[in-house]
Amino acid sequence: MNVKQYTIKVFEIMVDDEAGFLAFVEKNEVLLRRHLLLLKGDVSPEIETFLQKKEIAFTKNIPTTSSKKESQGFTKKSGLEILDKMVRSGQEIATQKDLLALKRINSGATIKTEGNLIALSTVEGAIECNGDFMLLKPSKKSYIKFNGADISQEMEADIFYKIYLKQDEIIISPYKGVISWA
Amino acid sequence: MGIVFAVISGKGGVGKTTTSANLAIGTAMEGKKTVVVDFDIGQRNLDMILGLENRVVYDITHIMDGEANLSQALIKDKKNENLYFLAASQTKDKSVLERDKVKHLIDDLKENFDYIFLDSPAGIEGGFEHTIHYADNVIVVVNPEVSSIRDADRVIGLVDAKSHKAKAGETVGKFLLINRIDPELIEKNEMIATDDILDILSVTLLGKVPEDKRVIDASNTGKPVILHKESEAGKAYRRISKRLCGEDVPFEDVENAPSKGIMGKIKGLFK
Repeated sequence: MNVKQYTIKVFEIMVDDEAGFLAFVEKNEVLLRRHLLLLKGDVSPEIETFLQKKEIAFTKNIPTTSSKKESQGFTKKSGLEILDKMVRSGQEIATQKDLLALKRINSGATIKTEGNLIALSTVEGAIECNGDFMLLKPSKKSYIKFNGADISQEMEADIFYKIYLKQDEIIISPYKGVISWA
Repeated sequence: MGIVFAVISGKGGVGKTTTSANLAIGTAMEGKKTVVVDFDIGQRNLDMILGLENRVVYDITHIMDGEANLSQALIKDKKNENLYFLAASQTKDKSVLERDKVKHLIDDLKENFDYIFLDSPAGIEGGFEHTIHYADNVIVVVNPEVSSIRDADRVIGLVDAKSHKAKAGETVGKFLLINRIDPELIEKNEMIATDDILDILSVTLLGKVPEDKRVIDASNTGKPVILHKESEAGKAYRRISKRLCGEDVPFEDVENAPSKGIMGKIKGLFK
């Protein structure tokens, strides 16, 4: 027998309004497709067939003990780390704090933060941010993952984007202002 | 005390050995006592490019093993009395290099020479680490294309992390040499422009060398391009050598094709 243990991330969703839930899934299909949904509340057969058709994995009514409000940031530490050096290919920066990256993040470099991330120069490397907020300027080469979702394809190159969580939904919006404070 | 330059690139085939050979000749022509060491153990090439292959008796591994001393292994160039060469072994592999012995060798060379060029192997293993470990400066050779630039970025990061000087809190001089710039491809926007390369790598530009078909023939005949008076690449290496010797030589615009001659101009008219 071969036993393996995995730690997986799930989206816990309380279903109280079927139409609202279906609209939410429709809208966030790209984000949800690669994840497991943990559904709570009233899961109707319509919802189940809908998710099966969309090929989104789900499970329902498993008791979880984690308190919902505090689920964010259990590994995050408070504080800001300022990175004033260019991140070169092959270098990996990992932090549990918020990160302010002033210089370029080159192709082949990796940044991982549990906190928020602001990157002021061009990003060509890989970013994994599990914070609530991100501000960065992607390029064609960059790979950007926010709270487990690959959002690289959702953005155009060479424009600053604000990416944030709003009630567990990822909002990606171009930042039109001029960033002048660094 | 001599100055040690490691010539590195990460990616292979971008012109490290050609660069080492030409810059060594160039600085020797400027009157500096120069030695160029082939650190590509097991894949000896520099001797051929310098046209000295028939003079190699002892190589770097013989020094490491104590079978020969430095003065026996150093090969003096016949054309230029300031230029010396230390060959790599063609038979042994990189494992013969030991850090203490490499340090000892480089210290010896620093006593006896003004300029020491270390021709690094491609990649980021053994031989590469030895060349950057005791270097005062590194010359990073790139071609204007993405994979070469990314590999250069990687090795610059390793220089910052691994060199003896960087560990002691001092900074290692990092210089960029852009090799094989093809004006035609730059014009067509198929090569990465110099400004973009400098932006990505953020190191000091040392020089730009244009693509020159004579380089291949020069390697085959053992007469490096710097000795060809009419070669554009040779002229570029000449300028870079002068810069290395402290002369303030302005950058030439090698990205733009030299005047195409009358036929080229006429063709241009009917484009």
